[in-house]
Amino acid sequence: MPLNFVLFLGALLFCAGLYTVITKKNTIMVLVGVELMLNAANVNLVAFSRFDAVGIQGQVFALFVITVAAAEAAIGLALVVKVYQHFQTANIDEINELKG
Amino acid sequence: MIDLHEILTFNSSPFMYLVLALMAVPLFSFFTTGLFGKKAPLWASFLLLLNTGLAVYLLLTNIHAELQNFRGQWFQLGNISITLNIMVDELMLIMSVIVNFISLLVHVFSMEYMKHDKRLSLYYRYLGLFTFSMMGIVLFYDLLLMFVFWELVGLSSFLLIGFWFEKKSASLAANKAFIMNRIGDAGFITGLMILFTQFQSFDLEAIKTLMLLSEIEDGNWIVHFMNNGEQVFNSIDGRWLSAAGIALFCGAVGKSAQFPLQIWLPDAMEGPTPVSALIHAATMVAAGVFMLARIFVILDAQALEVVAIVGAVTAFMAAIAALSQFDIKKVLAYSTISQLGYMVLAMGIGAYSAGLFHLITHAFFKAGLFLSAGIIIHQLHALEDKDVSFDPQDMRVMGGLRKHMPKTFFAFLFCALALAGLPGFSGFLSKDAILLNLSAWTDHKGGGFYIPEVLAFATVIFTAFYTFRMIFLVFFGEFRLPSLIQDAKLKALPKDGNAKLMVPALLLGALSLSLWFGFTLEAEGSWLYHLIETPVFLVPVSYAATSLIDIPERYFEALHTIIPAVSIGFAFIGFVLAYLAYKPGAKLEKAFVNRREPVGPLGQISFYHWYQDSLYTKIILPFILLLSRCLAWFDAQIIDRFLDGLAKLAVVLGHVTKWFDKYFVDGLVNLTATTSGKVGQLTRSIQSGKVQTFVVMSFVFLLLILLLLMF
Amino acid sequence: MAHLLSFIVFIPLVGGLLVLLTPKTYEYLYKVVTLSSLGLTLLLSIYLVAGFDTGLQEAINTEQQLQFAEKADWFSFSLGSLGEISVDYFLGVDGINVTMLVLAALVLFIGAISSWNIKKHQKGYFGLYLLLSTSVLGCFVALDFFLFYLFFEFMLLPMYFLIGIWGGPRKEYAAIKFFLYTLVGSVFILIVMIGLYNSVYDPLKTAEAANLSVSGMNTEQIIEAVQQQVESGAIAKEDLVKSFNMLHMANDANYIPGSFLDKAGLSTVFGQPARWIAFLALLIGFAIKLPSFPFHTWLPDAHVEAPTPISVVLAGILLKIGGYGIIRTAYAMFPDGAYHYAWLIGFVGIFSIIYGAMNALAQKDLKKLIAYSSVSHMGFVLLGLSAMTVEGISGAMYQMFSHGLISAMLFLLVGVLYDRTHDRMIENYGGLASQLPKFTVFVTIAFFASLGLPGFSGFVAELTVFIGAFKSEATNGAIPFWMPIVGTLGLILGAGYYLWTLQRMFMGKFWVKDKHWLSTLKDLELREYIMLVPLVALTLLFGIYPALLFDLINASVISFVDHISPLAK
Repeated sequence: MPLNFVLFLGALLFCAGLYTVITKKNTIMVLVGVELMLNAANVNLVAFSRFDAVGIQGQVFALFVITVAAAEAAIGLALVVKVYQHFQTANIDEINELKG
Repeated sequence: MIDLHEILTFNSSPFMYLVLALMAVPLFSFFTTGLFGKKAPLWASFLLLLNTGLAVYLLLTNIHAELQNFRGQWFQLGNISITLNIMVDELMLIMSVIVNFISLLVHVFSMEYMKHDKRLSLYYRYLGLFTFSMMGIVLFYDLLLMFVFWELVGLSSFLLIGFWFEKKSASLAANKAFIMNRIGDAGFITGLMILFTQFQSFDLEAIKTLMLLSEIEDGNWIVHFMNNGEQVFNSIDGRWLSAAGIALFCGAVGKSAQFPLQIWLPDAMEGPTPVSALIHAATMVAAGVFMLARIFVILDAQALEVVAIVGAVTAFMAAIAALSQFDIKKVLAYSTISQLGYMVLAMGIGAYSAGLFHLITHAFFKAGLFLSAGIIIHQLHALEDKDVSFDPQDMRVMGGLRKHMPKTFFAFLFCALALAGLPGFSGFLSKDAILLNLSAWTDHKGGGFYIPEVLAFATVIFTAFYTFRMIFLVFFGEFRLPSLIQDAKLKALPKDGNAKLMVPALLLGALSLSLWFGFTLEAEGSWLYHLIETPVFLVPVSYAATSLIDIPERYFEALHTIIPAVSIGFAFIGFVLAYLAYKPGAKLEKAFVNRREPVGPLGQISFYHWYQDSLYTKIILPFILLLSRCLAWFDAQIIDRFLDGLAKLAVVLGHVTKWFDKYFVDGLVNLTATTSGKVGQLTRSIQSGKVQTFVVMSFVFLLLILLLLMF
Repeated sequence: MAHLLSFIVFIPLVGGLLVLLTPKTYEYLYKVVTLSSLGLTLLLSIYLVAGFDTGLQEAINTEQQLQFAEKADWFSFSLGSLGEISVDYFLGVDGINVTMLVLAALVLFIGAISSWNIKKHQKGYFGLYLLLSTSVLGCFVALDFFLFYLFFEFMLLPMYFLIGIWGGPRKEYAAIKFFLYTLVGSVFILIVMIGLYNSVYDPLKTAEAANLSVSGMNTEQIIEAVQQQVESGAIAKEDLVKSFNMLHMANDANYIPGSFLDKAGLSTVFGQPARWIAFLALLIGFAIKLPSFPFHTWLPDAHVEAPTPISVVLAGILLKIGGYGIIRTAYAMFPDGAYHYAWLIGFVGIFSIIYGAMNALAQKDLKKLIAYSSVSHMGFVLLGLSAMTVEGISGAMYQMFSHGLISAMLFLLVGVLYDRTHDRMIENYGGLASQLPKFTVFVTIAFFASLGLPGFSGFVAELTVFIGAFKSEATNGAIPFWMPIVGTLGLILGAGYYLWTLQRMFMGKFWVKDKHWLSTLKDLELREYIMLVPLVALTLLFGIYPALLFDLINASVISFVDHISPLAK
């Protein structure tokens, strides 16, 4: 399978994630978009690891990213829940004040 | 080289206090008389009697004594010491007797004359002030001090002329007298400036000594002496020497009522008549002549010529003016001016003794005339009541008073004959001496200098004319008042006054006889004439006038017989003319009574005193006032406006800068602000505060950067 | 008594503070405090005169000639390479200002008595009056130009309010006019002051700053050494201590070589030597205060609007600061300029004399008449100064003193009349002599004193000015002969306007314009006697015994003339 295909998939995923981040009003959907973009990066990392001399570096990085993404998702969701509790909304446009 | 300090030695002695008492007693009178209320006249007269006694005592004891002087320092100006100097010489002794004596008579006379006045004690205080100041002039042998008292005499004259200040004419006359004197005094001060610059002293002794030492070199007036151990070398243009004399003479012109400042004296008759006798006839107006005598030796030929001409012109002009007056005091006033003109003329021709002799005789007979006139005025005034009102000084209401007031008539007549210069009376001696010297002077000088002589001799005729005119109008014929007041009835006829009025007048009448001055028909034979010796001129030779002493005797020889004859003849002509014109029932006498003022151009010129007064009050004075208004206008409208305008300009400029500030400077600032605002507006849309927009932006910019990196 | 001058100057200020601290319920205390503090000042200044050594004859630009001097460093700061500025608290009297100090103390005291019937805002009035007193007194004794200028400027503030609040109908106009005129004058003075401190150094302080070895030398030797070294350039520019000391400024040797106002006079302004221009600027600055033609128009307005005591102080002392300033600064510092412009000064002097007198002749308001007569009399000061002779300078100083007494008297007398009728128009009165005989006596005395009758101080002053001015051409050639001769016209005109006024207002039949005045026109009362009698007595005293004043000033005037006239002949 040529590398281009995988890169196209990564790009597609990234664009989808970016689109979600840009357009969705719901905070959770934005988080989902962020996850998509991270995974697009993971796809690229795994794809490039084939050309690596050691052959494993890209995959290890992808694992790290997944772990960090999981943590990020957890904290992000917790924040979202807290924000929702406070503002009674998860709409990203309305949460424009730092002061609670 | 002479040191000024050697001349100006300070000295004093107990005798000095006696001399100073001559001044101190009248001053004391000035301060204390006010305390005595109704008794003020007695107190003041008592003090004056003391002073007269003192003056006589000093005269008798010191007349032949050596000259004594007392000098002290008044103040020090820088290194120069300004001194006070009192000189006991014949002139001072004689003058102090005359001043005190006449002042005493006037004090006594005024007791009656002024007794109804509500400010009587003030009047006596003023008399005290006057006597004090006059004594100051007489005592001080020092030009500065003389000037000080000179002005104070002017002040007392001002106060006494304006004594009845409720009358507008009196207050105006007082002002006129003071201001006219001030004009002369400005000249006096100029003289002081010149002499002080040259000699660094006002002390007459120093001035005379240094004057003798000064020289004329290349037209420069040079003097060289020591002062304070420093050599003083003063050199100014020689013309200042003449100028100094003329400037000092200006002072005399003012005080002694000489042309062109003489117009104040007739107006000064607004004062009480005794005051006119004392101040405006006998003493103060003679101060100018006295001052000329003091500075006589430092006058140069040119200054003396000016003095002589002014004197002659004054004598003539005033004699003309006296011809046609109605007011008896005005006649006497013009006659005083005329006689003062003689004295000044005498000084000018160098006839020092004759001038002073005339001053002394004139003091007696003119004071006598004024006091006699005062009696007439006083007695006529007593006839006035609410129905009858007239001017008691107007000769038109008089006439025939010889019968009603015989004693007054004699007092008046004696004095008048002295004035007219008839032999046997004092005036003859002194006037003759002047005329004699004048003729010698004219002969010697030649050229145009016969004019003073002509004027002086013409004046003799006029003097006799107006004197006898006055006598005829006042004392002869019928008493005209009853016919003038028509229906109203006089309560009484006028009569001689009481002793207080009569004694002074008669005394002065008696003193008008020449026998007191020596049994002689010539001044040369008088003891007084010899007492006052003509001094020699001290000015540098090239500037000095020829002293009469130096005129060869041959000039005089013929004159000794001719001049008395001519003068008696002229006086007689005057008498005859007056008799023809004004004898009772004569044509002019009748016309005189009915006229309001003399007719014809000559009469008018005489009556209005050559229109000199009109020239001053109608032309010069309005001109000065106009000028002063113009200047005030200039000050308020131009200078003040200009400076105000500058301030306004600043305000206008302020408004301009305000506009500039508001629309230009502020506009620029605003422009910057709005521009940045607009830019902000433009960029604000990006700064929406929406996270997603930021993401898009960052993504776009990331892409851009990537593209930039790629190519 | 140490610090006598400081006491004299600052006692009124302390009094002023006391007035401000006194609550309004004790209003009567204001007058008591004012009067007692000014009375104390007067007593102290008389004590000072009593202790004044009249025989002290020293050069006018040295500190040895000063008496009761007080000197302390006030502040100083470094100007880097330009050296250092040092300002001193420096007070002292010599023959030039001692008479002015006494005059000021006297007139201020009498002004305080005449303030008795001020009703409006007493606290403010007396507070400001005392502040004014301090600045006036300070101005006369300050010998540091900075300090002098400070006092000089400080006068404006109280004066502005005293005219502007307690004045007549057009008080605001008059106050602002006075303020602006004087301020313009101050600007000229300030410019010269800046020029001067750039050019003058203090030799003693410079010696200290430059670490000269001065052991075994006395003060004069040190000064000489420093002056020599500065001349030769041995002392670096940054070591020079610039000075505001007026006595140093009056000494040519203290000018930094090559500086703007250097004695060599190489700098030019508008093509004229800078020293001449500096002289002219000082002259104009003080001539406005004097005031002389053509800067005099503030005076009539200020006088007409000012309340009586302020008129008294204004005419009595403030004008003298102009004359004193010209002597102390312009003449002492730039004698070359004085000699060069002598003709101009003399001409302005006689012009002021005659112009002021002519204007007085045309005035309808009595106070304006007296204001213009002040202009005329101050002309004598200029005439005397322009002569540059001992007599001329003495005369100018005598005239200032004498005019202080006489004008105070005149304005008090106008105040007396104004208090009674609130009208000062000459034409509205006639024959007052019969209604107010005592008042008339005082008016007559004041008028005659002012027109220069012998026996009063004005005569001595005018005579001295005249003989001094006339002497000038014969000795130093500063002004020509004709000037004093023309000036005598002022004597005649003076007699003219005073006597005419006397005749119109006081002689003739009694008549007043308004019937209501009949009840208010009362003769003098005790308080007015207390003010007038001392003034009359002093005018007479100084007229009869001028030695009293001349002895105080003679020594200083001689050294002053020695100082200013090396150019002459």
